[in-house]
Amino acid sequence: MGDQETLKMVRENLCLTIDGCPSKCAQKNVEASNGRLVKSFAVTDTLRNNRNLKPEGIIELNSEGLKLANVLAKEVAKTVDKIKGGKSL
Amino acid sequence: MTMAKWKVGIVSCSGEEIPEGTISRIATRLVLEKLRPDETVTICLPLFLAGGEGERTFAKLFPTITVDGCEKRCAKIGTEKYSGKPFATVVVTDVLKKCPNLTLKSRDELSTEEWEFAEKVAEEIAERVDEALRRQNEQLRSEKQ
Repeated sequence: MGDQETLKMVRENLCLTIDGCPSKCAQKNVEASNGRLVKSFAVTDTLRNNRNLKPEGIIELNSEGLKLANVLAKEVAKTVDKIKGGKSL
Repeated sequence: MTMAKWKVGIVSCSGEEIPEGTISRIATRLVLEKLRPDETVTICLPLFLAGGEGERTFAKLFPTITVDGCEKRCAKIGTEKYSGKPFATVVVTDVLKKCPNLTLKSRDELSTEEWEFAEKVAEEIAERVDEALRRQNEQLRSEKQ
């Protein structure tokens, strides 16, 4: 899109992307912007590892969907902690 | 002969940083699922920007309505850049000006007032959908004559 403020942000900071589907648009957009991508997450992977949690509803996620979102959020947070602690990913 | 049914594509803001982004997405879903389910489809903005040919072709052939959370108008600019001028643009911050007592705060779980506001935005989008289809039908009628 070329928004200078956003481009500066993704180029000067470490980026994590979270994609909802295998098209991986978030990852592609950061890469196309020459952003500093350090790790990509995919909801489909989290779903594969948590088959008991079946997300339903788009306007309002069901409780299993919210639990799945929490699982992924914790994975992302763990990665943020590793980065902050200077550990390799 | 099977006639292709006209659909209107809705391109929503995908911004997570501000509550207006959440309102854009929920209002869009309300239109897609409740208000105009048979007349609308959604176009994924990140996929559109990342080079999704299907999305870009659809937006070239069918009318689109962009729903932007803020004045940056990324959905509108992206649609214009890769496909063509959208039929209409709804900007959440513009609709918010009509509700001076409301302050949006939530980025995940909306309050009752925020839900009502999302419904108001959805109604504005639905009105634009009706206008787009009316225009499309008028055009088809004049081409037949």
